[in-house]
Amino acid sequence: MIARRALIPFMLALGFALAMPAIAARADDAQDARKIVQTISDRALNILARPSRTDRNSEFRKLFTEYFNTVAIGRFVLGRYREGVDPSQFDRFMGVFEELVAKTYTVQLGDFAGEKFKVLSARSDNNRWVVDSQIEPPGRSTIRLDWILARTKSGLKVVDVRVDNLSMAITQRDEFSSILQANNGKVDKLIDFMQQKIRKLDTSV
Amino acid sequence: MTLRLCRGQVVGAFGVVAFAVLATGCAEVPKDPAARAAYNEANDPLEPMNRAIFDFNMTADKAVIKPVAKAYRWTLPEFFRTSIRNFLNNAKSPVIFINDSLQGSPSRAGETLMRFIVNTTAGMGGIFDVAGEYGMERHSEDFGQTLAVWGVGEGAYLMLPVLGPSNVRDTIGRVADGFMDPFGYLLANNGLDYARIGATVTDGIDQRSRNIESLDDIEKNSLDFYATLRSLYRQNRKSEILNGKVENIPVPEIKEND
Repeated sequence: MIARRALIPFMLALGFALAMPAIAARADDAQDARKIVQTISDRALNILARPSRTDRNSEFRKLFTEYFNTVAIGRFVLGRYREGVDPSQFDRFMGVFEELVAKTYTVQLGDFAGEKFKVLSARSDNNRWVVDSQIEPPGRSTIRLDWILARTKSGLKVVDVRVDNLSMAITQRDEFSSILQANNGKVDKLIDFMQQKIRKLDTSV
Repeated sequence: MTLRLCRGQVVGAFGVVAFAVLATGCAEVPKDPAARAAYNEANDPLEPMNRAIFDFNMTADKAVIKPVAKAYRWTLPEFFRTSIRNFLNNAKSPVIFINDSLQGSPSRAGETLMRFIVNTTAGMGGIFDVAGEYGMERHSEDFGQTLAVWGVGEGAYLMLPVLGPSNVRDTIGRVADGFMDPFGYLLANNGLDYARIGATVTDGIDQRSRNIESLDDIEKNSLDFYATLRSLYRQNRKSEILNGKVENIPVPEIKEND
């Protein structure tokens, strides 16, 4: 009887000890997630300060592939048309996709350069980490930026960014879906349009 | 604002428009299952008509609206434009209050009422957002959101001339808000109909002046600006309807080898 009563606190202690690393790991993950977002923002600011546009483009592309899981995003934006795409076509798509995203980020982040950017908290949601941050542009209301990170083999990677609840991944998926729908689902046609856009962005101011 | 058409004319006009839309504006429902699923998800059966109106809007915007908005921003100092914005926002408070109440949100209705009283009195008729400076943030509501809260689905996507993206429910909401606005009746009863039109136009120009760069960027970066705006409109409405608390947004999946 004494043994059984003593067992309970022991079991509690054991359970607690087993849970501790998991809890600590979650706290670490939250810290990591926040650090990653802060690093991305710092590096983005540095990149925007570079004078050469080709420089900025290639640096943004590196930033994208390093901190974002581009393959998951690429699969996602193809949506239901993903199934009709063979591996070599998908690789070709990914190459063009990464270049396009790097170029569009160059344009969009340029607007936010120099604004007050604050990383707030990180919380877990299903299997993902959501890092809340905000930008305070002068004379305008605060913009909320949510960064969605997922655990991969190579650590936490960003899989989506939401600007005031507007998801970049979903917006891009809807846009690609519209183009694919108008072109009989031919991903090659989509790749053509993407390359046209890349050339246009290259030649614009 | 009274509509002076006789009933027969209204029905006739409706019939003509309906026929025109059905004859030319509807998209063909695709046969392929993947395409059909995408078609249903896009919920834009009037896409050809909507795209035509969108092209018109883009032309009108480049020719008239954007230049006027830029001139507005360039000639009026920020303080003045902020006062205009504050005044117009404040004038919308009754409609927001009514919609807060219809949605069964007494605390939000209370905030709206408080803001209205404070800003109209201490804020000199709404020119100063005194309430905002004390931390009482403004929120917006409209009858389209109220209908959504009541469970009404969005209906087909609509691109309205000049007014931009909408859907069947939100368009009905706009019309209803127009009828709900006490200031509208106040102005009409005093023979000041033109003031209401003036306020609406100024509101539009002021709002346009505040989104010039962001819309330019979105256009620059999109492969299909129409589809991008449609997506953004939908996501934004969802966020507005849920008062910012959107959950379960689909997210890219990680596979084993990633």
